[in-house]
Amino acid sequence: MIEFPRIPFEIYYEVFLELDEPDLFNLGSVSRYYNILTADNGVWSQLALKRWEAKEGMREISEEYRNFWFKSPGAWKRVYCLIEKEARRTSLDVNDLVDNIWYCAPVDNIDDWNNNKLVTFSEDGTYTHHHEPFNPTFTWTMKNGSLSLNYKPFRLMRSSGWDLVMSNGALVFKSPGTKSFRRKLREDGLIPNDNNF
Amino acid sequence: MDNGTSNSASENETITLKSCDGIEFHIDARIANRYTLLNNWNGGESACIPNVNGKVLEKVLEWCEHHINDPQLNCGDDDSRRRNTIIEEWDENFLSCDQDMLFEIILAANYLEIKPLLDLGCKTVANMMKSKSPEEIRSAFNIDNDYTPEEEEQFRKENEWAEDY
Repeated sequence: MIEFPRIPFEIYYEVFLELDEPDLFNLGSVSRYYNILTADNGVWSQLALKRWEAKEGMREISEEYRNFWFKSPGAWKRVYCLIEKEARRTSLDVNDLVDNIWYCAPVDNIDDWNNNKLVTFSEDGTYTHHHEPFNPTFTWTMKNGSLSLNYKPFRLMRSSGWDLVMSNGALVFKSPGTKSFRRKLREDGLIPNDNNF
Repeated sequence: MDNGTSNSASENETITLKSCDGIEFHIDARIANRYTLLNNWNGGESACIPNVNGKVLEKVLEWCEHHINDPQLNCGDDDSRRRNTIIEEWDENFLSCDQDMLFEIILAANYLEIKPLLDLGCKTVANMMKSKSPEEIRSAFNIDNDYTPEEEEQFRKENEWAEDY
């Protein structure tokens, strides 16, 4: 192969735009030089924005922080990977429950979200169904990373639009789930800490 | 191109290009009209193309001649270029040369602003990198692995989530 310095980055860039994520990961682990080349913000911002086109929450976050990410070399790749990992998480975090407002529906009536009840979870182990005038409150527990009410535990996953979804085969809870992306990004310094302002 | 009684005069016009190592090429003027940068070195007597040697220039011009009747692409339209990922058989054979030559052709196409050939070269390199393990890429491109085994292990762990892609 021709020595690296002779090949200008714009040519690598054209090559990388033809590759998809797994190819770029493999290429990045070939050598230190390739690791730096393949972490280019131009390459990963394109992949990320395409990936997030139909994920409303991530689209919002990316509009908010795109300039911040472009300022730091390799940031887009780090964001991309962090978000993909987070989107694959199946173990529930207490923050998921208490940070979000959840919609609840029976499994066989999942499309009828308008008609469904709002539920909020509190850290004290209670949850409230918000329907006036009773707003009944019950208790919840967490076992092995899953929410448990009094029937089977709920399995956590992400919908195709990356909403958080929990189901136990009878009931389904759904929530936008964008806050957990923000939380992860903030933990890794990939979005500024609000407290600094 | 000397069967020209029925062809227009412009088809018989030739221009002369000279490579950096002094080899002259007489080419159809329409090629230089398509890739305007070539016109800069028309009239090889005094001017020669820096950075491109005769062997490489010959290949580049061979490609240009073969594609002389291709429709002109709108180069500004990045998307339409990228979506056209199929490489014609002739082009595939043309670029299945040794790797050094492939990269020389890419560099020359970049330098001479022959965009379709540059794209083709980049796609060919990308295809050589697709669906390959790091070790396969290293041996295909003769790259030294400068990672420690610990770092490699770290990489593998970091990319574990991507296995379901």
